[in-house]
Amino acid sequence: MGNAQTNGSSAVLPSGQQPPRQGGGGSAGAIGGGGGQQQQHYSHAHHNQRGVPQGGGSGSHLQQQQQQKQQQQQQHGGMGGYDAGPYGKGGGGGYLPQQQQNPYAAGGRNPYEMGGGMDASSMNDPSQQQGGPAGAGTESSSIPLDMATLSAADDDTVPTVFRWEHGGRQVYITGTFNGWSRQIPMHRSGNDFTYIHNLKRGKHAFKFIVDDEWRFAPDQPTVADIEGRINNFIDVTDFKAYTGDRDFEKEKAAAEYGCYPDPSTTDHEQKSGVPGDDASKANRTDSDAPGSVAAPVSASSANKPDRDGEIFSHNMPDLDEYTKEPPPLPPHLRHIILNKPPQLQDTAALPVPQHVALNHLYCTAIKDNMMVLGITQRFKTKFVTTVYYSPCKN
Amino acid sequence: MQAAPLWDPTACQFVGLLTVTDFIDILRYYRRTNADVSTLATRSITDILSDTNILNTVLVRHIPRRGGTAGVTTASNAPTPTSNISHHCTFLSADANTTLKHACRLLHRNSLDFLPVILPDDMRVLATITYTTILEHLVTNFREQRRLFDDTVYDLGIGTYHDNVITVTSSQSLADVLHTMHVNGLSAVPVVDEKTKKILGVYSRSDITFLATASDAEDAVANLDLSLDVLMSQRRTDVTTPDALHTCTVGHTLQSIFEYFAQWKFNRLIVVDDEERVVGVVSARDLVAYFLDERGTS
Repeated sequence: MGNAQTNGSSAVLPSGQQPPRQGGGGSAGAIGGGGGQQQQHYSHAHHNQRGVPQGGGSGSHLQQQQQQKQQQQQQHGGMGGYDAGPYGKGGGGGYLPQQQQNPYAAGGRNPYEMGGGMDASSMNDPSQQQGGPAGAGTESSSIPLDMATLSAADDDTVPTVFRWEHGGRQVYITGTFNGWSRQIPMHRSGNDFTYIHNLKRGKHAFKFIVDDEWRFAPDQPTVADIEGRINNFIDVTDFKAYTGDRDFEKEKAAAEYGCYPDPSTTDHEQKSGVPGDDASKANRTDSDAPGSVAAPVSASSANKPDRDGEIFSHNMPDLDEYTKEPPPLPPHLRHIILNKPPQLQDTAALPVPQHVALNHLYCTAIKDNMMVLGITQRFKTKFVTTVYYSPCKN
Repeated sequence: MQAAPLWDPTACQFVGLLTVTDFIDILRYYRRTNADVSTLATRSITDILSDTNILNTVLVRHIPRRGGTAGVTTASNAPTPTSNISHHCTFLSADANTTLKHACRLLHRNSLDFLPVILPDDMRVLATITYTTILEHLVTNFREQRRLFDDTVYDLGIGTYHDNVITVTSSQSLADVLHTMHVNGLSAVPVVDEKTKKILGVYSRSDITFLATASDAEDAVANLDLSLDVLMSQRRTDVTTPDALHTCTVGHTLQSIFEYFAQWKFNRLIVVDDEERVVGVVSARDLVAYFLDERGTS
């Protein structure tokens, strides 16, 4: 890792970063690698990484960022010259915007960038905060990053799941949440890749590196930058954690429908204390007479949230809803341990089940008027599979 | 399957344990009375259990099981039918917090072979305890303590020996064997050669399960007339762990019995002499009872 190349081609980057081949791709961020030498490397290299090689300690990282920014600013001017080299394809243009985006990362303070906890090493050294916002201001791109929210004193982070569902063998993610500094490997589950990160409130841009290609997820919100490069984008400013109680439901309804459940109806119901929908509806219509605000309830109550924030309506589902396929069975549930042949030594011992298959009831086809059901449950540290034989009535 | 708890949906509780013994008893009843076996398919279990005919003809037991002398109680004797019914009606179970000792006592004092462990909160059956499983636990935990176990089982008085040992010959029919087992409350009998008295094998209760694969009920009942040597020569393919013959000698120490159990997990050991004649039987129950110190109180 120590020996970063100083020649132009960047094949060296240890994390297997590849420069973007397509026009729209972002530039590759460097990951890992020795600190010092790569700094120099960066200063010359055109395929820059907005990424700062994270190797070494925190100190070096930040310094690199600072240099990075400066370099970016310089290179911004001289982009033309950097196109030469293996990247061809007008790659020059491809890289810079990355640098532009860097400021989002660099612009933030340390804790914001490292907030991902990617590098446990003490990145969060507040003394290292540089005049990020200044840099960011000059190079802002089309992403309307709200610096005010960034500078808010709240430490609230929002755990967010990033998903990539479009296949690939190895998928990494990087974005403003880590300063585009490092490509984070995503966790694979079948054909989907996920990664969870605590995001600071605000807007974030991110992009995926799928099999060494920079890609954005077409099914998720995107934003384009000045150069026309498209990144994915997520706004967690207004995220409210689910608390599961009444207040949450009310606020959720309010946020969605722009109104709170009718207070006069709630008052009335509380006074009358009548349980049940019908009775309370009757009471409401009674109270309509005096011309209370409750009047519209029965008429338009179809789609307004009621006292608990729940919605009831008369809408019939579309016809195609009836012909749709039911949701597919998750593949984990197909591994039914009762279907595996028993071991010879001890017929009572079954293979250890996956925990996701617990508490699911399996059944066999009814044969000889007998239905056989099986369920695996956990008791402390052991798993018990119970098979029920039940006769069916004709 | 060794034992299956029976659930009563109307009473919403477990009411009994269905074991292979019940299956055997049903077969014997139908054979003895030559009743129409096809009705078996349509009768519910409660129906069968409460049928006094069955209880009186087939479920006559020799009580107490071992030691002492006791007359065979017959149907005319009032206590017997009720005790048989109660055997089926009271469902004894343990829950997860029961101590091992208490569970052993339940097993022993009620002459049970299986004790289900039931979680009372959600009526979940966790497991069924048998003497063999208890022995397994004892063996895995106490194997290392050599010093206690250097006496032979014969000296310790564990097991049944000499005249108390019940054996059958290979020429007997299955029905006879089952009857013998029932009357004496045995779960298995050693099968000996008639002339030489050498041990040929062990026939245990669970070996009967192959009869269930008979195509219809009449065949199953007819199978009871086969003689043992025919049956034992059939290869067992339905059960993967048949009760095999495990033997030991009078001179084996308790420690060596433990070691043997750790390897083979037998239900019972046949004690043989140098000429392979049956001398005694040591069962898992005997071993556990020794540790429970309840020998002699059946």
